[in-house]
Amino acid sequence: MKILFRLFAVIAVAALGWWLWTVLFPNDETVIKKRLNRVAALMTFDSKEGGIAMAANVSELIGLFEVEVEIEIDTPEFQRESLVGRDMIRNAALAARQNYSPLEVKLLDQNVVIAPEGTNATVHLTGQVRQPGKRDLWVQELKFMLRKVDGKWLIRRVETVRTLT
Amino acid sequence: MNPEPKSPSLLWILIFGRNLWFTLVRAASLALVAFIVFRFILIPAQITGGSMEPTYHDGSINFINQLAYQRHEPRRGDVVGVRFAPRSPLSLNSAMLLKRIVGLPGELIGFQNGRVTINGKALDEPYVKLPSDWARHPVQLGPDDYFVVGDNRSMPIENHTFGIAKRERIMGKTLL
Repeated sequence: MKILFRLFAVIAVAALGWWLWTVLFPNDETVIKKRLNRVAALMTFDSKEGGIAMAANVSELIGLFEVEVEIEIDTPEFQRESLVGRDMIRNAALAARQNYSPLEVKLLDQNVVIAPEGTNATVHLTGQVRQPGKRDLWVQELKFMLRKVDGKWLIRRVETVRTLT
Repeated sequence: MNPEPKSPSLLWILIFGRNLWFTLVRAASLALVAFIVFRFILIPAQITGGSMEPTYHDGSINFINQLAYQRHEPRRGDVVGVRFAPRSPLSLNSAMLLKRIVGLPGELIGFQNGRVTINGKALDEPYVKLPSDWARHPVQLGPDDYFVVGDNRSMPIENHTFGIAKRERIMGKTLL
């Protein structure tokens, strides 16, 4: 019984140590997923979001993209929507907050592939946008391309992947 | 004299059983089986949207059987789950399309008066209950292509997600 207890204790300490290592020294895939989850969190908002919070959230959101980011996605209303640069993303984020409050955004099933040189990455994921209590507004497969700039992963391009052609 | 060990109370027996160790082993085994079944075999799904009305209703629950196509390929009429991005078995939340297969590899699929045409001939579709006026030029399916569409053809064609799905995107067949 003592041996069993000691064995469990060793396994628990090893697991804790491994977990601490992944928290303190996350790999690139973990960092990218965290940033994409932050994008989804910043694109999610409700009617209680005040003006200052909105400005801060939108400012943080556009900081996750490259300056000359390109976004080409299919939308229910406008078919193919193209946005180039942070300013257009800022305007789109502010317009969404005016027209669709509240809004919930999720980026699911993130499949990260990091290029061999370690400074470019591609992520295939499923984007889901809904208004709580209503049907899905928009569900789509998306391809994100990221680049490591000064140690930070920034989104340089987002495009729709057509699930059904 | 050594005092006799107390027998566990009825409440303890009801919650933890007569042998706590066996109870824990049984609970862990049940959890493992449930994890394997609902992650790798049957995917629970809640249907959102009306594209499969009246066959499947918005908000209803179903399961996608990932082993349905172990012995044969998808068949016409099957209602299948079509994935978006590749799904991780450990993912707690995924989205997929629920559509019916109406076209098989190599066929020429079109729409006329709301009904599917296969190589120019109208398909008998008893599951389409609502009126429709869909019309679309035929498309040729490749060797790996399946044509999928919802049963609700009364909605405008431009609001309905349908088209060619590659075989690799078909996750499985609905169980219910």
